[in-house]
Amino acid sequence: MLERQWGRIVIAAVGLVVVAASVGVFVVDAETAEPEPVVFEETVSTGLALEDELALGADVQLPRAQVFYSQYDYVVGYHGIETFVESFQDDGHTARFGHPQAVYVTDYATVDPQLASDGHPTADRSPEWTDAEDAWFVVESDARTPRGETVLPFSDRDAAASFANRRGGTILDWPTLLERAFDRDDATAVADQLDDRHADADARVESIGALRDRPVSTVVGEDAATIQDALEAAPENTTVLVPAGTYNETLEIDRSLTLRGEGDVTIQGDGDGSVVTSTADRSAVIGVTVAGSGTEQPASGDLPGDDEEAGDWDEVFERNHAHSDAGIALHTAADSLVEDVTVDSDVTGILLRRSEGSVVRDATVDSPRDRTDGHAGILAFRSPIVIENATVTDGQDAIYAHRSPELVVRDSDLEGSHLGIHLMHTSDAILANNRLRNQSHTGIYVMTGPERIAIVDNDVRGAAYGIEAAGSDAYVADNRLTESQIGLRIGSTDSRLEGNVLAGNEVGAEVRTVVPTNQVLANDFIENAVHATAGSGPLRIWSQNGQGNYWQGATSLSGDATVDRSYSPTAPVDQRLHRTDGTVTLSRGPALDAIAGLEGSVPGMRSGSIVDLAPTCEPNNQDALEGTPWDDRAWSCEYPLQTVDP
Amino acid sequence: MAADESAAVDAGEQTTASTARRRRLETIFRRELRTVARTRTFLLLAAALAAVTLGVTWVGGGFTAGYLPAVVDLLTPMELLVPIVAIAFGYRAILGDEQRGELDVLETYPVSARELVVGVYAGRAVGLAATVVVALGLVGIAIAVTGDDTLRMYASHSGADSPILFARFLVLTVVFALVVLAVAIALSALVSETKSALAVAVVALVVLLIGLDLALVYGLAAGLIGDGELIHSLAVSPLSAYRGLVLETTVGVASGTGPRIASPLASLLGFAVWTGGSLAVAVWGVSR
Repeated sequence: MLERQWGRIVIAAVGLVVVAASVGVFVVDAETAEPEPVVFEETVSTGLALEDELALGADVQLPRAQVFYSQYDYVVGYHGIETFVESFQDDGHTARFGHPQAVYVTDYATVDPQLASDGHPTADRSPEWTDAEDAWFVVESDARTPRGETVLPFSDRDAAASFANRRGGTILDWPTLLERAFDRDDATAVADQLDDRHADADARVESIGALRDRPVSTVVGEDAATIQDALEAAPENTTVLVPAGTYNETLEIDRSLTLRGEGDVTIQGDGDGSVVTSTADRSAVIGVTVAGSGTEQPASGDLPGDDEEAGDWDEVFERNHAHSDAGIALHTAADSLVEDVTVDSDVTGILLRRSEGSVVRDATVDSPRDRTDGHAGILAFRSPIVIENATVTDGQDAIYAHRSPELVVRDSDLEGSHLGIHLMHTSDAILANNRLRNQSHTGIYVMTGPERIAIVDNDVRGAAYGIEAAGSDAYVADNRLTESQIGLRIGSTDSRLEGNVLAGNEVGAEVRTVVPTNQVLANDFIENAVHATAGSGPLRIWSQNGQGNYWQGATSLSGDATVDRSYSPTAPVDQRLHRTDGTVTLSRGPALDAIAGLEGSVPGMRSGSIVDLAPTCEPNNQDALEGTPWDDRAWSCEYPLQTVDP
Repeated sequence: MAADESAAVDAGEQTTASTARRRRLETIFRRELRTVARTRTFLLLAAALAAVTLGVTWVGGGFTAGYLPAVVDLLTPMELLVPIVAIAFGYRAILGDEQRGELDVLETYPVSARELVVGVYAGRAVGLAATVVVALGLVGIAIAVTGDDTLRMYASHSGADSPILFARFLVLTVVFALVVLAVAIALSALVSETKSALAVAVVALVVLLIGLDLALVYGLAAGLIGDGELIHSLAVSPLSAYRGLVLETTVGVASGTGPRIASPLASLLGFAVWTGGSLAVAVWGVSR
């Protein structure tokens, strides 16, 4: 009897505990305790190009924010509080990351902030972090980051007021700051400015083209025995005319002259150093074939030109990369023209160093077949220039650029090198309408996180990797990326990738960045073994405001030319829809439907996957597909249900 | 009939009526527990449910992704599977007694219809709850031990994800299962043979799984349910009530603002009405 009594008590106690625990899980706050700030270098950071970061002085302390999101595993670091605010205001930001659980910002109240001459805030030590909700923000002061006007946070209102008294600006609290508009150029602005940028380049080409029409003062063979003699005799701003023939000479131009060949002119170097070297602004090399340069890279001796070392962070780079023997070498020769030339290159074809504003056009470079012997077909080092109608074959890099912001490369034909176009620290570049073939590594390789690059209308075929996009606010559009191992590698953030055709690749597109802030829409994925893959990181949603991509294989049962469900190229069934018979049937199973139903929710917590919530039924780029083998393969989404003639 | 029960009933001690009632309840409860434990079909059901929950979580990548993604992936499958399991647990509970003639035997004892129904329900409820807890508990443990796949080069945190959210999902799923079990018990008290029990169970499942939600959609479309009433009307369908409660108490925590997902009070009330009403129908059916 007593045992039974005890039994009842135990059961009652267990029951009580179960009920209490069941109710308890709803009563306790599921949100974890406020996270502590982490070391900024460990965050997934955005908002500062590597070029700008490397150029910062040691005592510069730029404002930063670190954000802990409810649905995103990584702590996200923002260079510039305004970078976060802009991102926060984006459509879909909350859907991708969840809401910010904690935001910490640089606290300038813990240091005595000064502004350097360029407006960069400096301090004698690193500022602490403070909770953004309790901070005061000085806007419209003299403070600047490499991106422009910036916001300085202070945990103490008096400290903020004291700074604003000294350096201008007004003080806002956090909720007001979150509402504030900052107009920074994003990927959409890059797209909008493309036509103007091309027009600027056209104007540059036309104005530099005047160098072509300088009066002839000296004719080689008539007025002077050698070309070099003619270059030394000719008055400035005139043309040295070279009649047809082969000239065994090594040339140096140190005054503003135009060297123009008439007929079939070959300048044959002696295998030592560069063949034609100019160190004068507004010099021009037109209508010649150049061969026989040295093969040293880097070459020995001092760099040609009239610049002095100023202690820049990339000077070692400059000595190593921009001091190559070349067919035609322009050092500190701004606003110059290289036109209608052919270079049989032994290491570097055409080299421009610190020659901003120059134009290279109608140039052909044949680089060494063995890429280890070559350096670059056309090399632009700290030279924002226009390259157009260039033809480069073989070598290491067909076109290599370093710190040449606003570089334009267009209408060029690049074949067979290791890298087609290789950008280092070159923000605001435009790479347009180029044809790239059979690069053994990557067609267009963007490195070092630049800003606002435009890669449009290029045709890349047969490379290991078609385009590697990197940096922030890039605009990658209307490219045809075909028959490569991977068509497009996406390492960029806050970028817009649209209207590209990715066809016949082993992998159409691969996501490499862990921050899901790219807009990927209106692209066509056709006949890739796998349309897209994603590395580590959250679920990426590849549709924007109801506009998705065309995925060969995405099917519809609705009969109204829209795809009636989401498509995930990383899901085991969806990714086989275009190549494995029977998957269409399997994909319609209620079990899969049940799981797919809520696929797009809590994206930040899922990993290594991609979903398009609004796939298109027909290809988005019909014009680009016309006449290609991919056109027939780009079925309408209703294909499986149509009656097909036998 | 177990010996100790007879002993209890026949003890002839001077006990109050309530003690006697409690003892009778307890006896039926124990008998049901033994039935559940001895029926291999229930064991099979439990194993199948566990396999499905683990499988769905795996397909959704939930083991490495975390608790909340697993909840989201499991929600719809649970809506479909839990009612099936619950109906399987209960659709023959009282019918079985009747068929074996035990109801007639019980009539010779002072066991009321209410005691019988409550006892049977409680006994089966423990078995069903255990089935659900094991299936989802395994998923929870699997998530806890597999950890995540975040890159170590970056600082990471768990965000709004928490085992507490998963525990809420588990508790709500158990409650949902018990609601449907009450419906099943009511059905088993109303029918008189196995064949019709099966047919009625299938009909009930169709009504529960599809009919009520479609009725809500119709009501909304036809204007029978006003925009302001939908959130409360959801409680009419146990599936919608369950879905709303799960979304409100788990996913809603992570996503922050937006239109309200559900009215927890109305949903809980809906659960209570469905359970109480079904058990009342069962009592009426037995005493008939």
